[in-house]
Amino acid sequence: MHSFGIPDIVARWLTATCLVLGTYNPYALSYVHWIRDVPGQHSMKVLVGVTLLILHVVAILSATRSLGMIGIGLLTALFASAAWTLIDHHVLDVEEPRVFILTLLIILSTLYGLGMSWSHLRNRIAGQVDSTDVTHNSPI
Amino acid sequence: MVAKRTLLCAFVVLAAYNPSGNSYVHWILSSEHISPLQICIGIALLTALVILTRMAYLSIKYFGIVAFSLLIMMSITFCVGLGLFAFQDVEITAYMVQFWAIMILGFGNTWAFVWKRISGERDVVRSPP
Repeated sequence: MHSFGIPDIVARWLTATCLVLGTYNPYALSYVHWIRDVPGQHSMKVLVGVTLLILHVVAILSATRSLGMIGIGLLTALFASAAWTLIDHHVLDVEEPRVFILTLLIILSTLYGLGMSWSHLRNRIAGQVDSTDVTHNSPI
Repeated sequence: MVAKRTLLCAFVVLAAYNPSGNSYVHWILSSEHISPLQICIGIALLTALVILTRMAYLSIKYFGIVAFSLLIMMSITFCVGLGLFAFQDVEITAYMVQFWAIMILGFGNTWAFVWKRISGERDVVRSPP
């Protein structure tokens, strides 16, 4: 049986990063740039927009369901302090607004990636299974 | 299976605090200013402890914690009965308390696998409200 490992986490993190940066990044080549800068192609823009929206909803739901508010809070604090460490060691220059926004987006994508990995990791570490009760209407 | 998880719990608990002088608490207390790296590692340790404690608690609950504590105490009594050491030698030190916490966390995180193996039932966590 396939055992969930680091390559699976990296694959989810890369997918989440592509999703987040594909939707918006402060440099170029994102959905927002396409909408803003390129005229026409309306049907294609709506199709891609709805697809991105669905993918974001899937990522947010899986992260909220598996991590919970406490998990999201702790991980956000962890990544924010990691970014602070990098800023303190002059690895990141957040005076540049684009770098600052990119850092926030990378933190978001890491949260998405870990949110999609956490149920697998929990199952592997403690043998517990995360579940969603599909027979009752869940608020999320 | 138990050993790997107990080792993981031992690493996290002992890295946070141990009386030898090489731990996160000592690192914080001995430095004049708290650096961002120390805060980052502190949050990482806190996150790991919350994760391990929460998962262990969900698997064994209070009954399991009491049962495993009794098991540890009875093992000490058993060792005394075998004559390995005397009751007078048993001291409640920081290491003793940490050993107890590590064993509870290790057993707690393994219990769902043991339960699945014994009864075929899985521990299921509902999505948070």
